[in-house]
Amino acid sequence: MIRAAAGLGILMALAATPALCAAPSQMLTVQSSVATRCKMLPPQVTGAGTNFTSAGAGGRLDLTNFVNSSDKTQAVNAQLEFSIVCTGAHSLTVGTQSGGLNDQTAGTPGSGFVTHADYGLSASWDNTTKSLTTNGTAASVDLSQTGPASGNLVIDLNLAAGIGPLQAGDYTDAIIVQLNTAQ
Amino acid sequence: MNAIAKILIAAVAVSAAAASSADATPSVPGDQITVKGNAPAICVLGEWALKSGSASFSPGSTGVATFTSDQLTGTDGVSVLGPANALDFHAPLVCNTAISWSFSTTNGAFRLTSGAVPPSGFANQWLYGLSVGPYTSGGVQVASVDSFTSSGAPQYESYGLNAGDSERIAYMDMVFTPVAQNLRMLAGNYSESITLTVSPTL
Repeated sequence: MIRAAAGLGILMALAATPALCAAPSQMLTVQSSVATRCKMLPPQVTGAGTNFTSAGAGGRLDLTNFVNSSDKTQAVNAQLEFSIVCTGAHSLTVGTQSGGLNDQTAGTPGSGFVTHADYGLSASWDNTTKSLTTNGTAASVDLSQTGPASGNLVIDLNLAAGIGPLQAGDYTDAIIVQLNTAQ
Repeated sequence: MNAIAKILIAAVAVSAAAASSADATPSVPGDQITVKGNAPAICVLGEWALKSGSASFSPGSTGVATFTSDQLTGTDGVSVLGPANALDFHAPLVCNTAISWSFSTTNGAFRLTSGAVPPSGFANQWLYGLSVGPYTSGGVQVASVDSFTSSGAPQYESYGLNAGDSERIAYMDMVFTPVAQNLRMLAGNYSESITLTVSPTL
């Protein structure tokens, strides 16, 4: 009887053993990150009375009919288009370095003459437009975006007619476009 | 003593047969031990290992393969990921019975985890080719291998194998092959998870 009971015990233990699967499932994950990338091409420039020379990412815009026979400015409207793509958030500013067209080498202007001409600047990017009018000091507009965008940054420069008379000289300003990824 | 007792039982049976005509010794009651066993159906599915392909890999019950950011896009944000970035994974598998095996995909695409909807001109996912199936230790395919190109929707497939086939399996192989696309990709984290399940069928 003792042996019979022991045998029965063995049978029960075996019968209770379930089907086993030590690791029935294994998950595999593939992952990575796409970094924010921004790319800007050199500008395309249009506008009567202007001549653009490309240089690197920017260039030089000459106002070929800057003043009239009275040494006063002639109206100029120039448009600069930069093709830009950013895959994520980015900062974008457009600014004037000198705050207008200045004769960098001029001394005190003679009576009745000026050495500075302000102009208007309007910049549009991703359905946002911001404008400024120069006033002799550096200034900029901020067109930063929190998401991706692609298209053209369009900058309109407007020089009004009749500023002056201007003292003879070379008048310059630098318009600076700064584009950076924002993490 | 126990072994001797069992021999006696057999002898009693013979004697009993003889007794029917000889009217001889009555049968002797004795103990009987029956030994039985049952080999349980077992499948042991091991952890994923990266066999080929360029990615960092963290093994474990949830293996994680990570591409570098530069493998995904160029400096202009346009995809450079494609078939050259295929990854081949193995998971060892030993079974002693018929099985069913299945796999499921979480997204059906290697997709941006934030769920952001891409604006015009951008994309937020890569489709991929997936090949999954069992192989012998010599690298011979066992029964069917499932191959498809993801559609962007989660996918589930299930297969059955008889004992003869399943007992030949040494490992499950999974090849993940991104589909090339000339699209500009949204910045952010991308992910896809694939789960393989193996179950004994009795």
